[in-house]
Amino acid sequence: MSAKKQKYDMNSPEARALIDEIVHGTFMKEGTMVAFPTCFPGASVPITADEGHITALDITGDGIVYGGTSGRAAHLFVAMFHGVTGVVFDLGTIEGADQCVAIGCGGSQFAACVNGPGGGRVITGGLQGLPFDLIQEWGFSRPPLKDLGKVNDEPIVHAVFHPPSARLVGTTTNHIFTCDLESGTIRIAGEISGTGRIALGSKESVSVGMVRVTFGVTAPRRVGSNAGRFDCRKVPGNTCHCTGPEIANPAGSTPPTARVRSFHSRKTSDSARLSVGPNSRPSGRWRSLSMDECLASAVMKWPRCFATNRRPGRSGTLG
Amino acid sequence: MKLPRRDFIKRSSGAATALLALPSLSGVQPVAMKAAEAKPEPPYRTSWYPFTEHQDADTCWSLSVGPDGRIYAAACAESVPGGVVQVVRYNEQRDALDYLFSLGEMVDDPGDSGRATQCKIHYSFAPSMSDGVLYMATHLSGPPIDQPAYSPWLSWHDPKRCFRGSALLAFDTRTDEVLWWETMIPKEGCRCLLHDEERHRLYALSYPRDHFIIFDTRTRTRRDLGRIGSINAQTLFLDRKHRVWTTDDYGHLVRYDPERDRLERSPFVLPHDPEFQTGWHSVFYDVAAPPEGDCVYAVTWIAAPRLMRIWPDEGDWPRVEDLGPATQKRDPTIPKDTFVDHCGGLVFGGDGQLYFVASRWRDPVHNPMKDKPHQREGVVWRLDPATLKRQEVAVLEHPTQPAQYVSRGAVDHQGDLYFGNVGTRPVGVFKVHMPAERKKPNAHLPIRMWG
Repeated sequence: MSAKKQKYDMNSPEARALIDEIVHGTFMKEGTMVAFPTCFPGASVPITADEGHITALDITGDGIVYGGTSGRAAHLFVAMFHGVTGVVFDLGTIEGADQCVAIGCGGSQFAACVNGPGGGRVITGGLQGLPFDLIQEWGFSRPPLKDLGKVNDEPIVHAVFHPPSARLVGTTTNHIFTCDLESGTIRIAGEISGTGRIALGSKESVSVGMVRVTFGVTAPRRVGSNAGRFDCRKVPGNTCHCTGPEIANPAGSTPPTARVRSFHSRKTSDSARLSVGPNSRPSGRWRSLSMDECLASAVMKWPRCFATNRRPGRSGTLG
Repeated sequence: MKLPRRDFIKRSSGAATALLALPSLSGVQPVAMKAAEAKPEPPYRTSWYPFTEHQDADTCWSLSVGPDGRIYAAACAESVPGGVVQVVRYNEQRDALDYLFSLGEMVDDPGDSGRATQCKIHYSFAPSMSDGVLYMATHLSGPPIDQPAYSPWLSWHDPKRCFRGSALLAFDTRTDEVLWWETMIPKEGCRCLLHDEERHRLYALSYPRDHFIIFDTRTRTRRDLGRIGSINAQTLFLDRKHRVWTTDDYGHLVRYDPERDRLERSPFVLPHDPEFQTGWHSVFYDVAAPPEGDCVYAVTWIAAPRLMRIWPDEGDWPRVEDLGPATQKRDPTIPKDTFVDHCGGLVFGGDGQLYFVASRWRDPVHNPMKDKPHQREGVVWRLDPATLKRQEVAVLEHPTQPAQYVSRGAVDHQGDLYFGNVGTRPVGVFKVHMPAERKKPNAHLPIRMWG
């Protein structure tokens, strides 16, 4: 039984500060967050609300954001907030699609994975140049999008752009596929089951749930196969592909992740800290995460942390 | 002697009529009369005069009628490193452009200075009827000769790169001499210029700081009244009470009242598209006054430009009539290109009708333009002030490319219309030959006092 709460004394000396903390503390007080309508305010209309659920985001190396929406129709958009910009430019809807599950940015093109009644398709388009000057006068054109067609008859679950191979790596409900953005070639790389969202991992790999996939020059290669079902315990050097609960107790005796050598743990005062690297020795390139951060992290936030360190400016786009 | 402006203009008209007896103009036959003697030509025929003798010219921002009734234009070179504007004038006898002078030479600021250049005159021709002077003020944006681009903010504190300043130049159209020049706005360009001849004042908007500048032509001194905004309106206009009007970033009227010596902001926003515009960027692009002078017609500088009629003398703040969009319908989800969706060149013809050029472009839904060779074009419209009905009278025929972007328009002393062209090189000047019944002598009077 909880103790009876006392009514707050609005005349207390701390009241003003607490009110401010409650009201303003909700929002960022350090750093920058951009909240922006999905349009060029004053010059175009926002994406319609029932078509405007943002379900896919990626960002280029120079900070231009690409995204996709889901709803009654799927839109693709590009957003830019640096320099003399300040716009979300609707690149248009994708006919026959009502869901955009992933978008990835290459060097000169982006690729979006959309779903509709006919299954999942890959759409590509050229990266948008900077408009001239959004204070003075601007120039926009809606570039044509290229429909590369269906991956298979399954819906696409997720995909990421894999910079070393310049390919989009994605999954449908039962398959993993790649898409070469330059040639537009979609290739099924193999079967895979029970997939969720995927992300870039260490050693230029892509993690698909509990599976790490590495890429050679021509084709992806699965690592750690166990008769068709992958087990992270079999993946040598696996660093970032484990689920949240496993991470939460990396030093425990029973969770399978205890056997993943790449997790290095040590106790510091009252919290455990994890140093994560390609092997058991912490890498200076990657940051350490506190146990609290680990607990707060969903599975896909792990790779995002790595992406942040490996490629500045790409944080927050994969999770 | 202090004169009411309208009276002054009437007297100026007489003076200008006398000016037409200029040696260089005497004996000149009106173009339309020549045409009538030959064979009938289609009404509103267009002629094209490219800036062929200024190879760097890439835009024509200023085009105005001078106090002599002839057409002056700025052959600007804003995208060429080291580019410098040249002033041209239409020569009726040669039916060609005369290249008068380079601003870089005249104001001792050559294109190879290493600074941002005297690259253009941007809506900054302003006549002086009493002495036949045409004032002009330069603008910035042209890069130094050894740079690919120029940012006035980036180079503000760089003495080697920073634009020296807008040069104000007094050109005597009677003698073709430059009488004097001054640096009117240090480090900044002049976006637009207006002359209140009775008060001996030039008014200007600076760029990039968007300050309201007053220049006394007798003392050649400058006052800076303050900053209006960031966008920079493209026009100033003068009313009968000698008040100077422009707009701020959010579509409010801004006026300078010399009696109160204050800059004031209207409590309302100018007309704009209610679907996707907010008033932001609804700054004036161009403003033209009818001969009666009791109102002005204006168009805004934003894609989906809005036409309006403003009655400055009605009420504390003017009565504003929304005349609707100047260009076609479009997909509101796209922030249309400013260079494609545009309206400019507002000018009253000798027939008392408003002419302007509005762009038209191919749109799969709203305007397929299946029978047109170009993706876009510049359409000359005529608007009847009595009925507000609009009628398309011509399409500007550029020999190689679309000509949808017109900066300014003017009517010469014979009643023909001229429009400045901005686009891909070659750029230049269009002439629209008016039907004989719509022409009259001294059609340019009362003259427009702003660029």
